Amino acid sequence: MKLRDFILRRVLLAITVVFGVLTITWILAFIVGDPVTMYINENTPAEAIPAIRAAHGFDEPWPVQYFLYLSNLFQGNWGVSGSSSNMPVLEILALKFPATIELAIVAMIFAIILGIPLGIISATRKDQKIDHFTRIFSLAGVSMPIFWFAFMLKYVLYYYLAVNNLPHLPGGERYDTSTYLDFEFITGFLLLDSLIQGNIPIFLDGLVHLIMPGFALGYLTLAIITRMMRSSMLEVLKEDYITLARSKGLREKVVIYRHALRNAMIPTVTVIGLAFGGLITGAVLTETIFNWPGLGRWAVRSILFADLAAINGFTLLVAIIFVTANLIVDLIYGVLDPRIRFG
Amino acid sequence: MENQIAMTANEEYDPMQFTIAGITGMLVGLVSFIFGIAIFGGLFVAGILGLFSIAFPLPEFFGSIGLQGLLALVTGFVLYRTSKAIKKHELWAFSTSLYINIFAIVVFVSTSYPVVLLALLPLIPLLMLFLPNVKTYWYPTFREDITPRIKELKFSLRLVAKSPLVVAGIIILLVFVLFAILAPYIAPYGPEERLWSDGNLPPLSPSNQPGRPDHIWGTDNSGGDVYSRILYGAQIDLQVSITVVIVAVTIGSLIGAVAGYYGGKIDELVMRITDIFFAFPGLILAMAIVMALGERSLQNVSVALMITWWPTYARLVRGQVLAEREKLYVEAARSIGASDTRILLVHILPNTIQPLTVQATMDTGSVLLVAAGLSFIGFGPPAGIAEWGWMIATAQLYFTIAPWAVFFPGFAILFVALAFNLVGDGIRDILDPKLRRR
Amino acid sequence: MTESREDIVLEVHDLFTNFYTFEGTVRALDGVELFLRRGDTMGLVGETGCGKSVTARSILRLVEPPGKIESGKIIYNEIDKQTGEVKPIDILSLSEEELLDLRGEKIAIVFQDPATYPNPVFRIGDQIAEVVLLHQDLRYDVIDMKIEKLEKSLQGESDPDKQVHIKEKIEYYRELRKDPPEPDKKDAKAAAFRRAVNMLNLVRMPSPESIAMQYPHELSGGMRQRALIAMALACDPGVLICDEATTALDVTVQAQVLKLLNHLKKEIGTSIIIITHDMGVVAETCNWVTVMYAGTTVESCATKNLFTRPLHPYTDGLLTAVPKLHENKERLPQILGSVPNLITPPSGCRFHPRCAYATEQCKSVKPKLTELEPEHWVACHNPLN
Repeated sequence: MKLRDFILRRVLLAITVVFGVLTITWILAFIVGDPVTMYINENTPAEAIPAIRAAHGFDEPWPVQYFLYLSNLFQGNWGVSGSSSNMPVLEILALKFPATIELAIVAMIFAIILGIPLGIISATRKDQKIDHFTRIFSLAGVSMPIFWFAFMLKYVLYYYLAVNNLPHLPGGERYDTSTYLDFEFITGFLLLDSLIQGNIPIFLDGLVHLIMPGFALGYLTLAIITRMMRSSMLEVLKEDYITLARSKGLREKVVIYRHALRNAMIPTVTVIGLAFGGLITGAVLTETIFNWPGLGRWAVRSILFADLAAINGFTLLVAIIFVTANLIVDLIYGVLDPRIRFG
Repeated sequence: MENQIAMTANEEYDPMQFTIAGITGMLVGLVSFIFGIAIFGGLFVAGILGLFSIAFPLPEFFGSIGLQGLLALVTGFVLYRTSKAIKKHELWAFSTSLYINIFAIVVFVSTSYPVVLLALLPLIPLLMLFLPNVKTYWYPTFREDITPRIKELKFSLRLVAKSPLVVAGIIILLVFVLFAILAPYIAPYGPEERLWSDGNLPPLSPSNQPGRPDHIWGTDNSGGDVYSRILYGAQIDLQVSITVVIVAVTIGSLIGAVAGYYGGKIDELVMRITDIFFAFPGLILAMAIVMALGERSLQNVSVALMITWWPTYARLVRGQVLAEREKLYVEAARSIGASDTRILLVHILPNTIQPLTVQATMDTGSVLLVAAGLSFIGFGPPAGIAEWGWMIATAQLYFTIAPWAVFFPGFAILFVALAFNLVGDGIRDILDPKLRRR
Repeated sequence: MTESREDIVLEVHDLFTNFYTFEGTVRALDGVELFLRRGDTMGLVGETGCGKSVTARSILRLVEPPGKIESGKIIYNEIDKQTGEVKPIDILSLSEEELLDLRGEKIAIVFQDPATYPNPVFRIGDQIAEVVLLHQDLRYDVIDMKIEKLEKSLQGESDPDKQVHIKEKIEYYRELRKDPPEPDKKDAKAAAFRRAVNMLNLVRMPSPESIAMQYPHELSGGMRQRALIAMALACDPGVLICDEATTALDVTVQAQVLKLLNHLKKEIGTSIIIITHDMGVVAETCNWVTVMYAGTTVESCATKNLFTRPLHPYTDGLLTAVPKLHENKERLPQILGSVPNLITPPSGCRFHPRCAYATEQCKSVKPKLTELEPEHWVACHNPLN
């Protein structure tokens, strides 16, 4: 019963936040910016602009405009992207979405699989060599300009090796488009689609293509998770219940991986939720470098064309993903920490 | 209360001196406050009107000292409040007033001509605090109070000196600050200077133009000297990130303190608003704001980053205030009739400064990264200006010919962000009472 | 202390523990001497910071960095259940692996603060079951549990064919019980949980089944403390150390818990060390007292002796500082001076700067704990009386 109330409360809170997000994007696009720019280009004659303005209700009072904006959004009318041959924004988002999410998930898996053990090892061997190494490694991760790091990776692992005729990683794209000309997507997720079609070569090719962008994108998240895991583990290991666990005669491994880890995971899980937003942000920068046909590269291209509708749609989508990720984290939190449910 | 007890011993008690000190302080506070309102409010109005495309011409110098305007506004208010308390002989106000006056002087000195003359004003109430009667009233207590703090500070500094990572961070930061300040004197080329004959030269190569200095870190595609541009870039990058953090901290902590202290509906509202801001990843929100503002300029990037970052500090300060507010000593202070301002200034604020410093230091690094990222995707300063992120963005198109033009600016970003993180991390460990005495 | 090993279950000799802090080395324990007789309840008393808790943690080797046990001897005399032989275990020379068998199984500890000691993310029952699972032989429990279950289903069964079938099964398990096999993990867990519920029942928890399913934060302080005691007693330890186990509780709950401890001692046959600074608790529950001062043992005797004939000046001061209902005093007498700084402890007898009877000898020579009167040990050059 109580768990259900907790979930309900969180979901309601997330919905209010989404409304807030819609309002902010509206303020940005309609109050601060001029929405009419979504429907005109440099060839539009100046005298036609008032008519376009009126046609879309941009001359109405603000409350009416706000209502129109919301009703349009809910009807799936997110505007058209001028920089992508006037395709509906929602359609493009749906088209580009899988590539980005696939990359983000790979980066996240990579960050979690490496970050959590690194944090634990670093905390349990505080002030030993491995701890110093991990701390510097993770500090460098949070200080790294991600686009530069991606670029340096590409320069060394692709360009430099390729120029010297050494085995090298692919320098961009999701898969080798020139070899596998006739590959068709079903869901848009390459790894999934190739498995469905039983096309193992493409699956492996996709994996190889994911290595570099995945690492470049995941490094920041890896660093954040490692740091958080280390500090919360150190904090937890000082707690009284760890002494109690030791006094029971439990093995040090059981003390750490059963009693301490579960408690230390609580703050780490929050950070993982927040880091997911960081991954989408990072995708904007990484995809540009690796020519990745996802949302990020499309958004950057839209910026160059000052495509307000595209950016607005992108911002909205990212915020909604972010809110959803945090909602999921909140729910996991409720499972991990029984105290939360009653708070 | 405490002041009355202390007073009985003093026979040559002259209340006039207190009144003078209080009133001068209040006046200076008012001047500073009005000045702050003028600048900051002016900028604010200009900004709002600008949104509606109404021209609102501001005097030239106002634009450059917006930050100081904000700080003057806040210090003015606090100075006014403490001076009023001095008039009433409230012991707590004297030391606070001392600090605030010194801070006001620093703020005004950091502005440019003609406001710099205002720095003389806070000197008057500062000296007033040392009128003989006034001084005997508060100084002994102050000394008693400050001695252990100075001792603690010395101890902290010793810990800093002992921590190699913090020292490394501080040295890197100092070097880059020096770079930024001395750029016009030590850079061999100008920030936007281009030698078309010198395109894509590798590091350490001499210039093709006779008589020009060597390009020690090479040149980019259009013949700009990478080394010089990085030095000048330090000016922009450091300035943007530090200003953004200072403004965000000031605004955020004011809002957070009010929300936390008064609670109730204000608190609820502020927290819901921060929730919404936290629903956007930093770079994306900043990107959307710059996009909406339309024009591509450093100012817009700064404004966008400030709007993106203030909720962090509002939350942090609110949490601290909430925690402190419930503590016994605050209850005790309230029960003897201390005013809200006094409780906030004397009891709560000092306790929030430490976590705020740590967070702000680390965030300066993150702001730097996001600002560089923004200009990398095309939201930076106007094309051609020497800014690290933008340098990478332009140079990466020619990376097969001139990889060094990408390598060095990125390294500069990495180093400065790393330094801020090192210092922030180190300060946190040093200030943490749990780790302190090991 | 020349008694036979059968009588004494735990002895501590000349124990030194230091803490290496930033300010300097804190000499927390400076030659502590203790012994606990089998079946006794011993009070370990002294001011805050005199090393009572450090002693308790040293016994279990739970002293964490920057603390370190420097030297000494801690011996646990185990009686072999089959042969009845006494087997002394030198705790400080045990390997990490052997230590695990000692903790929780032979010596268990109940800590001071019931708010912070149970792990907040696990159910109470699971936390108790965990110790049982670790140290106890659950083979019989598992089979008993299965038989019980079958008998229950037998009662609800009307079909005679099935009844016969179930009876056969019960017979099979009864046969198996003579030489039970290792149970699988799931069964063992269920059996351990059942024991946990029994333990909760033993410490007089109302409705132990539902308590076992609850998380620590859902219980009151007194209930949590009882749960911790249940956890400590789950493996019938030879020694139970209660480190200020009742200090954080209010007086009525404290009385309940103390009563419970006395009752359990009779039921399980554990020897108990009660660490406290409350002389009332000692008078009520303990039959033996050891007094500590600044990391040293100063006096050790039967409780009655201590209250009527204290020999050490410190004990005397401690007792006169306890308020008594039948006396009407303006101000309680106090021991002059304050607790010494253990980074730079006084030379010789650590109590000499505050002692009214101190001589030159006290400043230079550290007094040894000696049996001055029968059954009364004191470490003092100039004992009272």
